Amino acid sequence: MTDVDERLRHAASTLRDQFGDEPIPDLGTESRGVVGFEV
Amino acid sequence: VDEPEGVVLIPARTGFDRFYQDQYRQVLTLAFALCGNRETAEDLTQDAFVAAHQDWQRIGGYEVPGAWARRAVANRAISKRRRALSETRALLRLGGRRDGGATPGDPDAALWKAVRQLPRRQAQVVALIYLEDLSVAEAAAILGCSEGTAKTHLRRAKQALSKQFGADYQEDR
Repeated sequence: MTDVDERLRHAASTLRDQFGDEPIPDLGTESRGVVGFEV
Repeated sequence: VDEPEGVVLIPARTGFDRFYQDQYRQVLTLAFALCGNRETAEDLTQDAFVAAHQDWQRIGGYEVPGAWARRAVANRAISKRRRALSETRALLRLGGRRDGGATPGDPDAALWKAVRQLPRRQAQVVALIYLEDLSVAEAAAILGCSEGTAKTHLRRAKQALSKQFGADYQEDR
């Protein structure tokens, strides 16, 4: 039986690898606006 | 949103562009973990960074601007996820079908799906701690809750996941 902590670490590592080479898009901050962005 | 206190995740950098380049992939990964949809995650992440850019005079002055972006995305990703699920269930009811919800052949994807089905704060704490390798205190600071509260969320999340996946549970954090 695998420890849930170990499973979470593995799943996190896999996901980080999946997005590790993701291209970083041009944000277009000069022309783009976000209205009503709330956290 | 006020600056999360006590976080030492990433040192503050000067300049929005550097911040964006440094943080984009990590914030995108967090968004995807919590909403489960790539396009939505990209939109959430880009919206958060655009908002940060527009308010960079304030956010750039934070000790850890990345904590702001993480809190923004973590909160919005869960809301988006819940809304999308609600819409999907309504459509499935209309179609008379059941949502199987399985993720065949990918145990990691199944685990993240289970994380997304946890209560909001539990999912956020798990994602921040495991994806970003943060301490409970650092995750708590990002989410704006106490360390004790975050610890409780983490314990309950791990208990629930253990029960669901038949895994061992050890209180080791």
